[in-house]
Amino acid sequence: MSVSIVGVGLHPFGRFDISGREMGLIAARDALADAGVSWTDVQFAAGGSRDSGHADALVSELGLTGVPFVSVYNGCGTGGSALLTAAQAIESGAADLALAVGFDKHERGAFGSDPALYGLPEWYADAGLMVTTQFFALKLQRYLHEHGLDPILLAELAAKALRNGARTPHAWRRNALSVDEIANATMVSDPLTKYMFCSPSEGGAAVLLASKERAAQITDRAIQLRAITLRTRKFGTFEVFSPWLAEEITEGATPHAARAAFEAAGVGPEEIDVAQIQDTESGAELMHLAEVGFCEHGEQGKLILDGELEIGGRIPVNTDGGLLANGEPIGASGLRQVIECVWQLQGRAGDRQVPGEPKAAFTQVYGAPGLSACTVMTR
Amino acid sequence: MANHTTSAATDSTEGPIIEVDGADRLVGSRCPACGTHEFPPQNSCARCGERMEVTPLPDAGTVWSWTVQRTRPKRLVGSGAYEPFALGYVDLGPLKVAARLDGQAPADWRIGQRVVLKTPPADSTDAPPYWFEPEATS
Repeated sequence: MSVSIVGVGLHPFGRFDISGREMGLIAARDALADAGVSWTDVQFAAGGSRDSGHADALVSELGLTGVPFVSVYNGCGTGGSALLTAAQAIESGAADLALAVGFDKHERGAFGSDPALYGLPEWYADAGLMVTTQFFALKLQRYLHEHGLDPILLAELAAKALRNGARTPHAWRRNALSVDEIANATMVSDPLTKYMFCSPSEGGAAVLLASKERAAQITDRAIQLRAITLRTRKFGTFEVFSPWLAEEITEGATPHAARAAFEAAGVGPEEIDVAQIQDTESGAELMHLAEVGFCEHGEQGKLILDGELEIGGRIPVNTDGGLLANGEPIGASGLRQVIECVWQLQGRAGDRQVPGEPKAAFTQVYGAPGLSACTVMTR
Repeated sequence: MANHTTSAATDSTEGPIIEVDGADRLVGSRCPACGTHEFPPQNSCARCGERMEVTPLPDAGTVWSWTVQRTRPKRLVGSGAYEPFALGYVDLGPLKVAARLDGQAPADWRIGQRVVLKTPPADSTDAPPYWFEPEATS
């Protein structure tokens, strides 16, 4: 793929007094300023939000230029889908400057869900079985059982996230907690305690893409988007809101998306210097580490306990604290991962900068009802 | 034109139980082409797209995964004081079904335990439509 990232903008994640749309607007303007271009230069845009209105409503304040603007919604993968749409507009030659933007502002507490929207019967929700946290716990319990993994790894991953969040100005949760404090906190859904789950939050994120030719005119610190892939689930995967599972459980969307991204980029997982991985809860990070190819299934203990995932380790993961420290504004979350990698590759990550001038980065976002988007970026 | 009276899919307000030979069973669907089983019944097979047939599901199996719902879900039948409950997937052979687990302390469940289907009395208003309990040991 011949697409460059020329500007990024991020409204901090957390709880704020302004609307989700305003946060998207701030992020979009920051991305344009980062690249030193104006909105009138943008030839294509894609954006998404779950709870803060139509993404293309941003244009009434950015300027009604007539730009083709595609609003997308793909669950937790919305940000990745917006970026994919914008990247394909560049790759196809339809535009040489394109914006991907996402923003959201969610109510407190876990996402409520209406069975009718998922084609599910009313009794399934009435029986107390339609709760996202249960799904994560059930998938994880089975995974720990099959691979003989110690649940303390979950507390270790959450502690890493909060440690990194404490060093990150845009993060929501900025207080580090010890492994013991996390492991002994209130149990939400066994084996996951309250600090092992991310919460819905608020924020905005924008990424400005350009063709290589255009990028060369704009900036000398462009990051190359070497691949972006999106895959949905195949038959037999274990997804949220499933009253039944197949006789044989098959590989989810993430391994397919990750392999395709590495193949398209011509970069392998062993060459990645920094990565952001979907950690809706710490079990998701645990499983995704193997699914994206950073280790074999069941081998996560070595990566985690030897400090390989820390800033300064062999492959730092979730350097800005991930979803656990930032929460999840659905429209913006996947773009935050990309922006954090851009800052790391450009050496602009401040107190949490990965040492040794990282050259290659990877992101993976995963969302209901079973889709995954991955990127590979290089300096 | 499709004959909707033979449709396998249940209405969204229909329950998950049918009676077979005087006993309650979960009702699912089976694909005559590839053998896939689904629950609740669907019209079309998720694997191959063929039209499915309604079938009762096995009434015993093993716990495939489990967890505990520690706090009251936003939506839950019944209005009494909230008691945390266990839930999981029960492996019935041709498929696994989501279910509440009862009959022992919620945190004591283990993967692989044998369980059997239970349903509430007909006049119950507070109970889930079905759950699984440990198989009686004699």
